[in-house]
Amino acid sequence: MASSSSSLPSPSSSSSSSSSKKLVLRSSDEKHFEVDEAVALQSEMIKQMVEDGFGGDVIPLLNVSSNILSKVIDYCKKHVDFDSKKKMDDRRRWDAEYIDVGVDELYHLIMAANYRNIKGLLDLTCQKVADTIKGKKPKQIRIIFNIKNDVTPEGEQKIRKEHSWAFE
Amino acid sequence: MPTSRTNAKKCLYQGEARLSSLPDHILHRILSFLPIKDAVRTSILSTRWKYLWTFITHLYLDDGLLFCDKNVKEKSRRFVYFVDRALMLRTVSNLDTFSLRCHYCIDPCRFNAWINAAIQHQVQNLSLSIPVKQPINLPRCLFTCRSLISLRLEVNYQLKPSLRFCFPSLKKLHLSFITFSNDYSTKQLFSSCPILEELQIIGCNWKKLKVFNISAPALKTLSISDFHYNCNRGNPGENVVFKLYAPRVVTLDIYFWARVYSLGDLPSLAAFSIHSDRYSEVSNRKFGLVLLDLLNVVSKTKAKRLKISGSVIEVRLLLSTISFYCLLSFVFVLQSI
Repeated sequence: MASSSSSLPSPSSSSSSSSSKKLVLRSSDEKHFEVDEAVALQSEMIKQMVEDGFGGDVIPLLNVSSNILSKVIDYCKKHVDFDSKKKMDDRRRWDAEYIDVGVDELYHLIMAANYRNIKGLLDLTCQKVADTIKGKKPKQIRIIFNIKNDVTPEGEQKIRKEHSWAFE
Repeated sequence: MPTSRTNAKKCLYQGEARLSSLPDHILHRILSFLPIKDAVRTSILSTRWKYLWTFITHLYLDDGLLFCDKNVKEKSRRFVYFVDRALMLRTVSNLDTFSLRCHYCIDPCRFNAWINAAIQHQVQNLSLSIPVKQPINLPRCLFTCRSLISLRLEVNYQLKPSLRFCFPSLKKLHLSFITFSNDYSTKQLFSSCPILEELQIIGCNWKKLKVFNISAPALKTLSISDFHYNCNRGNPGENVVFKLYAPRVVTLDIYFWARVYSLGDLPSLAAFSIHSDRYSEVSNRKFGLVLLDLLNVVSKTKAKRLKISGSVIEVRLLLSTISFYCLLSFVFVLQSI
């Protein structure tokens, strides 16, 4: 999967938009991805770079590996389609399936969305984490986030008392 | 697929990875997607998490939902303490949403302090719902808040003639239970929203107005209804002249009675509905004639959907004299004849 997505996509993959302008993105592991400009511009960071005149060169994405970049591009491609069709139900269904990933991949997607400033993807990934911890006990959340508990029992008691309504 | 999904879930619980190493601003974003109760509960996770919840960008505060105390006084006291802290502990100005709904805690001084604080945090979406009969005073700075994108006021509040308005970013405005006391200030309110796209006026009082003037060049949706208006006080203004300048309006719902409707040009109008049936003092004939004028205006637009509801029988006869430009659907709801 990684090798096929890291090579330049074949022209047949998007025949309808073959005439549109392309941008080339380079992942941290030196793989190149050619994408339609509209797809790449979902990222505010790339939009800014294009506006500043860097659109003609290869755009390096130093913090994003090829497998995560390929997944991020999937998201941007699909959402360019959704934006033109305005089908909210389809979008929700697709998003739900897209984000059904493990915690490691979720972490990298959040970081990539944050770095490339893709608001939709950042909201989707953060919402996923929020849904995961909603209604959970502190103990369970510590496990999910791998948080080391450094609050003393007295300290915890104090916070619980201060916001007793939230712990009822 | 099912196995990969179970693996994904398993992995999420085993937490082998690094969600704890996410930067603070992303954790703030994650907490903003949680109900406020869940967000506050994260304060005991670790010392780093103690105050993370105070950075959440969406504050939905409802005194009826947050506390389960049966004692109303105790409920109010705890709510005030919590909202004070939630706003006081914030050190950054990026409040996306501040939504306050109060049934029990009616403390106008506190409301003012909270609204002021929200404005200082450059709130973008503000919603105040205080469904009590008691008139509430709102701070003047609310009406010149430049950061607001959407504003919902469900408050018994009288718009004072001396108020100044400035809403350069406002796109959505929803007003309920507001009293419009003066022609000039009413006109000023709407004309100070240059990019307003959606306007809803429900159950407000415009009895004191002679001309109800709405001038909003970017407006796309307008809905005005006296639906929830307290009937004991009579109609909200049957003698009013309703004057609209909204050249981009697409959907127009008029659920109230006016003496004259002056709608101006409506080149983008796609759907129009009018409803008026509860005013026995307005004769059918009078309503029929005003409605006929109105429909004549609508008939020249490109509106494709038209809905008329009310108790007026003559309208049906009058309608036969108008030919519509490009109407596709027409609903005529006749209630008690």
